[in-house]
Amino acid sequence: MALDTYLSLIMLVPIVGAGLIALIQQLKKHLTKIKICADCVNHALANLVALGVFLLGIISVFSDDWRIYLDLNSGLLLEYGIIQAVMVTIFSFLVWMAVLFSVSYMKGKEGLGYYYALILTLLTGLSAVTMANNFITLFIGWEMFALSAYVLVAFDRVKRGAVEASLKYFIMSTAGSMLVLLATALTYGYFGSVDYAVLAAAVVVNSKVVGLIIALFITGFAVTAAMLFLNAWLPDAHSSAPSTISALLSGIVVKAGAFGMYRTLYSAYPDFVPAGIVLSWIGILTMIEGNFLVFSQFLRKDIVDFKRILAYSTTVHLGYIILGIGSNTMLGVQASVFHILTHSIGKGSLFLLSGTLIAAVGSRDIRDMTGIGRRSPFIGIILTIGLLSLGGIPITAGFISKMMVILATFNGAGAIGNNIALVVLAIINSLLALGGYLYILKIMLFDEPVDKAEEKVKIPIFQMVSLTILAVVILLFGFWPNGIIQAIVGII
Amino acid sequence: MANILILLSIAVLAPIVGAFLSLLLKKWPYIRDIFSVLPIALSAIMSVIVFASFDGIATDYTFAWADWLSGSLQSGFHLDALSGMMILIVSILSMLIAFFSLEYMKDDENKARYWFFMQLFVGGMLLLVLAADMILLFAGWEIVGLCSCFLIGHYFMKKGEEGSKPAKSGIKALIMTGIGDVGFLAFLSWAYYLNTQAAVANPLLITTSVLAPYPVFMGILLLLAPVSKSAQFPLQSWLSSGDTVDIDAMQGPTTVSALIHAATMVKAGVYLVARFAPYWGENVFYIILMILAGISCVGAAFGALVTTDLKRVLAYSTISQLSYMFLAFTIRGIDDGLIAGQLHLLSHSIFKALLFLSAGAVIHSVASERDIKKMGGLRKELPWTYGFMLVGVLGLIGIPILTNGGYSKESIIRAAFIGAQTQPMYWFVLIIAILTAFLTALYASRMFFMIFHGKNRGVKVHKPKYIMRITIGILAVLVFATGFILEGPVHNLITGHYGGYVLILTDTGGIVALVSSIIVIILGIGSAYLLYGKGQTEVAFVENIKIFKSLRTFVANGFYMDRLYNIVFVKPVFWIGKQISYLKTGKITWNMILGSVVAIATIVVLVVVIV
Repeated sequence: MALDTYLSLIMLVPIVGAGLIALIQQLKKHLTKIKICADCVNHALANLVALGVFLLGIISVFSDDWRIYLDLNSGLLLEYGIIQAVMVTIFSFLVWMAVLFSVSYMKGKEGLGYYYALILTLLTGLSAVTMANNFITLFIGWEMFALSAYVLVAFDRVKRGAVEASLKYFIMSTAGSMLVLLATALTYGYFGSVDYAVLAAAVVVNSKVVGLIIALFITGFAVTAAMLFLNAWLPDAHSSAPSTISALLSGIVVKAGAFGMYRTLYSAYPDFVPAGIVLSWIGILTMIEGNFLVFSQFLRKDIVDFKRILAYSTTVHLGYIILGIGSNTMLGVQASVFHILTHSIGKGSLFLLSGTLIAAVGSRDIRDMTGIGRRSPFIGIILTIGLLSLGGIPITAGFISKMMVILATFNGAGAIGNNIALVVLAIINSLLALGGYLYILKIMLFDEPVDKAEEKVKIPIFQMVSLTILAVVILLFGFWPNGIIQAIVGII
Repeated sequence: MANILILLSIAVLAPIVGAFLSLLLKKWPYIRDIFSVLPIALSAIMSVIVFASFDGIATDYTFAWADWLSGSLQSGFHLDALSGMMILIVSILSMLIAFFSLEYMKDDENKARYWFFMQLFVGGMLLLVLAADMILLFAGWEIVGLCSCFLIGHYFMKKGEEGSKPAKSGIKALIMTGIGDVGFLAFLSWAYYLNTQAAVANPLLITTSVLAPYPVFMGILLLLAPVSKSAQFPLQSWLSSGDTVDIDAMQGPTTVSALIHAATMVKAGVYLVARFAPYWGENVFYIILMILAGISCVGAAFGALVTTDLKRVLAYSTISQLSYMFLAFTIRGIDDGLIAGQLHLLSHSIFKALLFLSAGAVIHSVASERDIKKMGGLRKELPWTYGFMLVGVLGLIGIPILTNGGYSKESIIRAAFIGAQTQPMYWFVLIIAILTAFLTALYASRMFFMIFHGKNRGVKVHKPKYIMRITIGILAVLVFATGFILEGPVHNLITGHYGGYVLILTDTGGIVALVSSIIVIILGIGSAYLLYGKGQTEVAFVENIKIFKSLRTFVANGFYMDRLYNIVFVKPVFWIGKQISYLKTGKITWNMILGSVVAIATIVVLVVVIV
């Protein structure tokens, strides 16, 4: 496997970093003896690695030469074009934010090194999924990030809920992976190759087999992409995991499912428009499901879980992303990638914020957080920016990306009547979603705190830095979206 | 050209950037307050310069903001008579209102938030009226909605119900105007689709690329936007909801109400219809607009007649006057109502700003009491406010020749009369217009008499400071002055024909307009004086006759609109959510079974569809 040196950097830096961090964790006892703080080294190292990958990614997004240099290897197992560059940048940015947040969030937790190592292997796996140019490499990357994610969800392993959620995630996600593997096997059996390029060029004789393959792929990816009722693992996993992991799950892991669908429908089997239409409808149904479930959460008597609400909102946004991919146009893919970006930073910031809040009030219940935005203006501002970005209000990044998805859906490859129906439903859903976000905003910002009204909320410095960066990025893209749009438009 | 683009960019960006800068001045509150007025003043100066150098030729100034398909989705500013006039109104009135709030909001604890959203609001509105493409227009549209949410809910930090009502009101405003956003967004994407199909170079530029006529359904989608933003029936209750509900835009500070009603926000809907007016080919669109506007015009006037909240009287009057503009827009033909509507937009902005700010001065003087039943006889204590508010009321009533309201209102009635000669449906507009003119005279004088005449019914009064007085005075002068400007220059600029006049007495339409408005004004003020002139607060025959009483209850409850929304929209959403949540038990076995069923179904559907 002759990997190009620079291309391999994106894969090698995190995986080597992960190994190193795990090693330091192993040697922790010995290091403490010679007065080296292993945790501190791990914090620093994890941040450096994540930042490094992010820098590699962001340079390759804006510099064509660099990207072409990275793409020397195209045609073998990996490829690196603009879409990969953008995706890797998104992934590594959120990982960096989560790792930065962890410096104070995970301070003093046991097994810190393993935590960082798993996050970095997660990043490696996700990079592999995006950079793969055939289904086998994709599958390897897939299992790599999925395994890391299972363990990370159950990182607080003393919590019963966490283990249960992790197991549920494991079972459901593995079932999905098996469908993907089955489809890959069928592909190989039928075409004699798993390369996207070969598959795209192949002449389809028997469309029934190919139809089955596509259906299996999409359904398999749909489990991770948390589509309609295949998302039972998602709210549990999100609410039980440490908040940083929830941010990563929601911000980037589920997006891998969407990316797999993109690979199936655009790279491998580009001629199957009807599959895209079905996909769009699944997206719409998922949105509806997610929105109504958000509202049902508010009615719950036992616990109105903030993270669970955010998790359901994630399925709504995945609906948008799937809608863009299902439009079967490049415009749709660009819109989806943009929405992946804005959703990952918006939802990432909210999930990270939830970590701060849960630490502050000692409960995940939104009713205990009543009026917390009034107790601390910083929390209020971050919360408002994040929720508004998800709701698609301008001067935040979510506005343009939501609009692009809708424009792309209208220009989809399906019939015009179909597109109109999709667009109208999507927009009505966006209003519903906005209603949900405003409900949260009302409780957490506008309502009067019941007790502890005077008490200030303390926010550790690294959490603050990380949240601030995310909020600034959201506003930045809101003010001048053209900067990132010009990069994304390169995806063809 | 480039210079104009820079000037326009400064006008739009100054308040937006200023909003963020003012947050940095947290430590020096006094400097921050002064500083926060400056960006708006800068916008006003820029607007004046742009307007002065405007030569009457509509121009697009484009740049790349969200250029999706490299060079084909240009954004930009569009400058023509309409947007030129709008930026003048928006920036100058906002500047005056911001200046006024220096005094009015002096003792507020959360001024940082107030000034942030105030400036952002102005910036968003300027963006909205200047936008040459629909994306920027929509962005401005949403910014305005967002800021209204936080400004209306400004007092949410107060304890108990005083805090929870503003919070609910703000959210209500954002959600209900969000219904309009649905329509606008659908329209926008549809226009994008049609224009890309027709290979138009710049699919979302309003002026150059809009294909006329649109399908009717598309027009109706777009209509949702002005109906929600300009608070027309049936989406009026975010602006003014009836005394018993009391969750509406009136919960904000009075300066915010003035800003929302006079210069920004609600005018956005009117602007939108005027902006897209040349492209509507279908009568259906106008008939729907006519019916909705007709209902809200009369309904809101009745609302204003019934409510006892000073600000709500003005809010209902805004709805009614906005419908007046919409009614004017529906008149098409030789003598276009479009111009009359735009003139009314201008004059309404000024006299409504005056009315709201003087109402603010009154409320400020009587320690935040808003119930006009408790006021009365204030003319002795507040002589200046009395005089200025009188000017505002005269403008609202539309006294001919003297006030700007008179000119614009008569031109609407005249356009309706002339339109009715050829198209019978404009008789509807004419009748509604004259009826509303009567009702307006009635409720405006009722409010005025109840505040200033009769005897004080138990409020303590302290006098307002000079800043308030100066601002209101300027606006009062403007009410008279702009009447004469409307008469000539503005009218000429909008029509593009020089030498035209608004007040025309050479044809039947003009005479009918003048005579009918004089008659209804006399009738209106006269009956108001009879009913309320001596300090009465109730009218005997309404109290005694059952049908009037129940009608009044109906109006005072905001036409039961909020209850209707609750039953039709809010409850079903929660109910469906609850039903779906039964499918989510959390047990892994059940989830796997359900998941498998869904997965198999998906696979089957996909295979069937693909093959």
